[in-house]
Amino acid sequence: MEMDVYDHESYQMSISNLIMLKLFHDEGVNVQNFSDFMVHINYQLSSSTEIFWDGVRQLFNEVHYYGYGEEHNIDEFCNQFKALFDEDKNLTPEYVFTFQDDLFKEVLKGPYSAQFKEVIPSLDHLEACDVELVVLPGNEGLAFLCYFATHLHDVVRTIIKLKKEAIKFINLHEKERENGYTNQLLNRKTA
Amino acid sequence: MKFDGGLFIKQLKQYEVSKEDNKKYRTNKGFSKALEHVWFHTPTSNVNFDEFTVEDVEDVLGEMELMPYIFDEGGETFVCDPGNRFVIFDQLFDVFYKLNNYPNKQYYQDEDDLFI
Repeated sequence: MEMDVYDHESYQMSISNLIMLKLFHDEGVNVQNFSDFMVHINYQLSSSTEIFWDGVRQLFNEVHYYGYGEEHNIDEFCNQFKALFDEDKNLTPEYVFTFQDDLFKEVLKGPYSAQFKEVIPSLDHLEACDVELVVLPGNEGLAFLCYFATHLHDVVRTIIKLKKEAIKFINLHEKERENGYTNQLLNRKTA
Repeated sequence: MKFDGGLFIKQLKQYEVSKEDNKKYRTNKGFSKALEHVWFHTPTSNVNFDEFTVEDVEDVLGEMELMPYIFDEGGETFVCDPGNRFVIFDQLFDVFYKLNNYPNKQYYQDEDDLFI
């Protein structure tokens, strides 16, 4: 049996979409009405981002997409978060997903901000996509800067993991607020 | 023709599947389900996502990455690895088609034959 390299690549992308659907399903999202996971790299490329966008919107409250369309142009993002581009002038993402969920805001503005930032992994090791995960200026949430991405399942896994970490830190913080006395004993910074 | 049932059972013993082997097969079940969905291009609405785990689909992705065996000169097409589980699955599925369309068939289905 022979196979085309383009078909081969398409199959890998489709399987990545299936992993993405499965991850969303495990988080309790109803994925029955999502786009089909089978794609071909010569057309239907949007399917991958459609699945990502549909799933992520159900998992988080304030998710925004900035691309090169007329609406939600990437310039809006650049104007809104100028500080990000002042730090690093080389940032030229193709499209951006921002996660300004209350969950992330709470943990980033709380006392566990430093610990949470340590947990955020760098996504440099991913082979099939070039994405960057940054904290928005003013601790307003997280942002995925995508330069080029074909296999988005690792991105989904990361964001789901970060959501769980955020919930963990918030619970920890709540417990500390209740037991304020022990905080003083252990000489820890309180809220 | 006489058929020795006792001998048949005796010789079947060596193919018996122990409980430990059974566990191994059960873990492959999710993998093959995921592989089937990929190979047959199942629409998302028809996939039962409780049948397999995330690890199963990751294994399928790894299996697909191992698919190329020998590349052509141009590098555009390649021969698939005959040991790859995608190829094995495809061949297994072909068996029914081949049996149905075998040229030297001994038995042909008549119009009167009824299968219930």
